[in-house]
Amino acid sequence: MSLILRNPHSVEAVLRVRPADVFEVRLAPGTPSPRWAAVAELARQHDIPIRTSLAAPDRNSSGKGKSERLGAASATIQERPDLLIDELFTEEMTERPGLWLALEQLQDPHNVGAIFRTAAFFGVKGIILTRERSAPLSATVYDTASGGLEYVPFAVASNLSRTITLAKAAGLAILGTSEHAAQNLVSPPGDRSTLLIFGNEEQGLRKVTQEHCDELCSLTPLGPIQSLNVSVAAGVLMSKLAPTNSLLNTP
Amino acid sequence: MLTNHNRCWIWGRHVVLATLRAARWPIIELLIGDRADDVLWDEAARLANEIGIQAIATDDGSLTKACRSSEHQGMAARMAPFPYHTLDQLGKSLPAQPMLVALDRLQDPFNFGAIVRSASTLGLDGIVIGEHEQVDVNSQVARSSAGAVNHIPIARANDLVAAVDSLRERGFQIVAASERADTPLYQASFQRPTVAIIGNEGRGIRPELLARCDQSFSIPMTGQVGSLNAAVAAGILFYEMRRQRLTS
Repeated sequence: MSLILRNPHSVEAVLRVRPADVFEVRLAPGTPSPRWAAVAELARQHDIPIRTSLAAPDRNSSGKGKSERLGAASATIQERPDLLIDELFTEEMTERPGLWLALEQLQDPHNVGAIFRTAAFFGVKGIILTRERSAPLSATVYDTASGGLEYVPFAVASNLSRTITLAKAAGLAILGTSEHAAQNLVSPPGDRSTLLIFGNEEQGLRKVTQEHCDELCSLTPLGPIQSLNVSVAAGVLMSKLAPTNSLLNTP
Repeated sequence: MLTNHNRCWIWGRHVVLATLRAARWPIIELLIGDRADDVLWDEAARLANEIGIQAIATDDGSLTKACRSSEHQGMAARMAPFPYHTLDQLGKSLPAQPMLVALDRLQDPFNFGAIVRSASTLGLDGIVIGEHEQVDVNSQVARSSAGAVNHIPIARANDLVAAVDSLRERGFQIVAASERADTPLYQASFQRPTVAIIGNEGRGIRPELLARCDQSFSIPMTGQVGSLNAAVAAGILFYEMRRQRLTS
């Protein structure tokens, strides 16, 4: 399936990682912004058609705010294929300590995209997403991820039971997140690999998933609002749990 | 965006109820749709009565038309201009050793709302914004803050640079989160009264503000590529500020 991306950062990442999957770049009339100019230059190097048109194709109504913010330029790309769950936990992948994420029925594409962006920043090794009642990997997700989709390998599963089984077999600690968990602050796991699981924005983690976690943690809710936005909570936990980072953290 | 205040509606049960309960942001008109059950209706009518307005019964179609969204869950309210604090009012409401965040020209209402939510949840004492090139507290900000715009003081200053100067004179240290800084966040100290500055999504913190910072630091990148979204970076920063206070 092809997608129309409007964030120059997400288009640039596709051009760097898999240029053959960029079909066309469209620029707004006039001088492009420096970011889009860089995109156009990369596209030229790879002989990708560049068009200047007055009207960019309509993506969908939810992308409206985005296109206003980013200008009318866009690019058509092939979506990135997902991997098998097994491929995220191979011996080679799990040889050194690392952090993996699983997202269970996350519904807001902005949250999924923001989590991918942060995951690329912190060097997360892989993300497993659920298929049902979950935000599909739409153009909004790619654009919010600002290139993160190109750098973090991902797999899609109907539920997380096989993911947890494979992660445990590979020696990972399974850490679930819940507003109601007793443990507030996460202790860095030292040199152990971790699978960190986030649940749906409203309902949190499914009970059956919670039961398979080695530990549950929450972020201290101190104000009247019960919890953080899931992409912010994920960012805080990634900053705490990404292995090389934990060396810098004070206990 | 929404400069005409008559157009500022908030909708959705959670946000409208949170705003009614907090009784800070004046509500001009409260509409309750068909789908609201008796419990919700009674609660809304009681809260409305407490602040001296009436809850108006209407049908869902009119609600959708009024707030221009079908995601109203049977509740919408037309809002007066947001009651910002002045810097002086904020100063008077602060506890000892306060922690504030100043936002330099934040443009995305989703980011602004998420930052308000994180600041409130992680126990910061207030938010300072400028008047220019800064998104206002509007319906989208209220929604992405999950109602937190009602719970944490937001001060708006005509000139953000002057506001930061004035906080500095009151004994605050000024710190900046900047991608270009060499010092990692975890070496910064937030034990003193602190104002943390978060910059514009694209352009970062303006030079005049950066020049006023006692220290700037970055969130260490452990991956190969990328940058953090402003709201995520703010969340990581607030969490560290809070953690240092809790463990000191």
